[in-house]
Amino acid sequence: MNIQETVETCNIILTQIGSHIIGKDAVLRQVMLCLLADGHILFEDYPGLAKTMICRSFASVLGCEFNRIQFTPDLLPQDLTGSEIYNQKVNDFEFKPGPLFADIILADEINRATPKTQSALLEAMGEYQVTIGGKTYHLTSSEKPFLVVATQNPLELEGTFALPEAQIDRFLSKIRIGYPSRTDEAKILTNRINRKSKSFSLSQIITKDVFRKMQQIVETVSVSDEIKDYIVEIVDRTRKAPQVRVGASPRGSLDLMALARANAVLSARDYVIPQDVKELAPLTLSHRIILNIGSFIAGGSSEEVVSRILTNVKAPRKEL
Amino acid sequence: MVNQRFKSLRRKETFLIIFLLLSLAIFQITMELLHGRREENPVLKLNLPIFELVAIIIPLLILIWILLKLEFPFRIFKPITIWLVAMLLLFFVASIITGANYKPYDFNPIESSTTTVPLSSTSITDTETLTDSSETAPTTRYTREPLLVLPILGDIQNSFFIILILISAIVIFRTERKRKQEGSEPLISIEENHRTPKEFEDAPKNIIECYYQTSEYLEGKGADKSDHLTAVEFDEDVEKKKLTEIEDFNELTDLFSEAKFSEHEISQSSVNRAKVVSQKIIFEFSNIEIDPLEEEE
Repeated sequence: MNIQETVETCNIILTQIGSHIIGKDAVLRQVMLCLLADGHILFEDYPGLAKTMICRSFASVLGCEFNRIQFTPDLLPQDLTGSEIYNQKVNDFEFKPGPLFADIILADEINRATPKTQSALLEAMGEYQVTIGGKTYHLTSSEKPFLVVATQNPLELEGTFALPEAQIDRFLSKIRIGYPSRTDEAKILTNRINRKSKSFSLSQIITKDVFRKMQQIVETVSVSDEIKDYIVEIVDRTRKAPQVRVGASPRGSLDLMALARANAVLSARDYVIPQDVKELAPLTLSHRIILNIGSFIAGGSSEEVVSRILTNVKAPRKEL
Repeated sequence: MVNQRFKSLRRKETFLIIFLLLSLAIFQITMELLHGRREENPVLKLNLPIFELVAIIIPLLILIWILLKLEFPFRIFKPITIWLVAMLLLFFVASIITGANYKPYDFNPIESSTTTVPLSSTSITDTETLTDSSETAPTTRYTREPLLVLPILGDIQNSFFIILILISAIVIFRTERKRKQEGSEPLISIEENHRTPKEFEDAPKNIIECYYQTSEYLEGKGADKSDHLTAVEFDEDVEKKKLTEIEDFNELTDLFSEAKFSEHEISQSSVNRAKVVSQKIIFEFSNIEIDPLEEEE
């Protein structure tokens, strides 16, 4: 697998999913980037915008095992990780894996679960392993990906537990889907009529080990010192901006670089250019920034802060 | 090679010339109608409007020629342009301070025997005369003249302005002719805007140098100079503003990105290609032909 093959495969995947998820090519590309960069995704948008469908579609075409977990206040950590159950036949405890042991997990309405359950998931996301009964189980391997796609609804906040900033930091990017245009919505209706069925199925395009190889291609992308400085400068500015209480962490820098490398691969390059960084900085950094109270009351948003930072940081273009 | 420089500038400059001429004509006619200046003007007593128009239009055409040579407004920061604009401002400020050229002179000049009363004190300070004129002296008339400004001042300003323009034209013309005689580049030309490219042994640096040279030139032509722009954004800006008719600038951008940010070994053919694209863009508006052999490389 080389870059060119990766690009071609990605294009086939995006075309196939794009034929069912209408008018969301940019979002699909962002999801593809996150998957290539091996990062977790947080979807934040209103219900009915195809968040679950996007997730399920990618799992189908990538040949990955998919599990959906509906988060509720009574969900326990063991319900995610699995637990040891006594087996009377063998007269011993045996481990029964939970839904976390899939390749792609959809954590639906993650903010509805209690902080304890959220922490269990987020720990698994960070460590790529769970420890039950003193025994450690790995969630990922060279052939098996582990990706969490979480969703949260920004409208209904009653009875929810907002994700702590430290935990939000574990998501590579926060993606907003947005409503489709009128034309696209009409096309969605037409597609539904032609399909004559509520659901649709997508055929598998690659296997998950091929997908892992595609992720490995991203690791071969080179990043020059100037690009590293550019990333560091942008992230550092998020910490110094007057509107910000807490800026992006070094994990933000790492994630921005990872996403920029994935973008380079999707653009058939084996090196990162400043445009990759600038284009993806809002996607990677805005959810990691906490505004101070003054900016929050004034109606400022972290996306605006990142945009302003990007227009103030000198891009590596003019120096020899 | 078609002289693309004027081809590209033609639309803008034609519009500018028409606009200026129309404004001038309307301004002149309005002033003539309102104040009858020609009657009072000691210089233009010939009473032929065409003379006066020509007297203004010729310097104006020369001014437009100067601006064209300076590639106004793309190179507004050139010292000579600053000087010219400063002179224009000085002229207008002087006009405002000393009184406009068209002070309200009496529309119908009257007999030389009439009493002259300053404009500011008309009908107020000379109450007695006014009373007398209404009752006993119907032959007494009043004229209005600017209190501080002599009518000739406006003409001095005009003359000064015209002389400035003529001097500018002569300076540019002479220097350019001198340079042509010496075989060097014209004084005011596209080529002046770009520095001589440095030659490096390192192939990537040569491509980067070509890109800098071209982007500096495009910045001089109106591309966004902001430091925060990436090479891709700069390319988009150039394309959006249609600053060059050469479509290869994005190729140069790609070569630059590869040379600057990748670990690839850059071939000599890439360097040659970058040089050709750079030269094509820089000499786009001049008559200099690109060596076809070099282009083929």
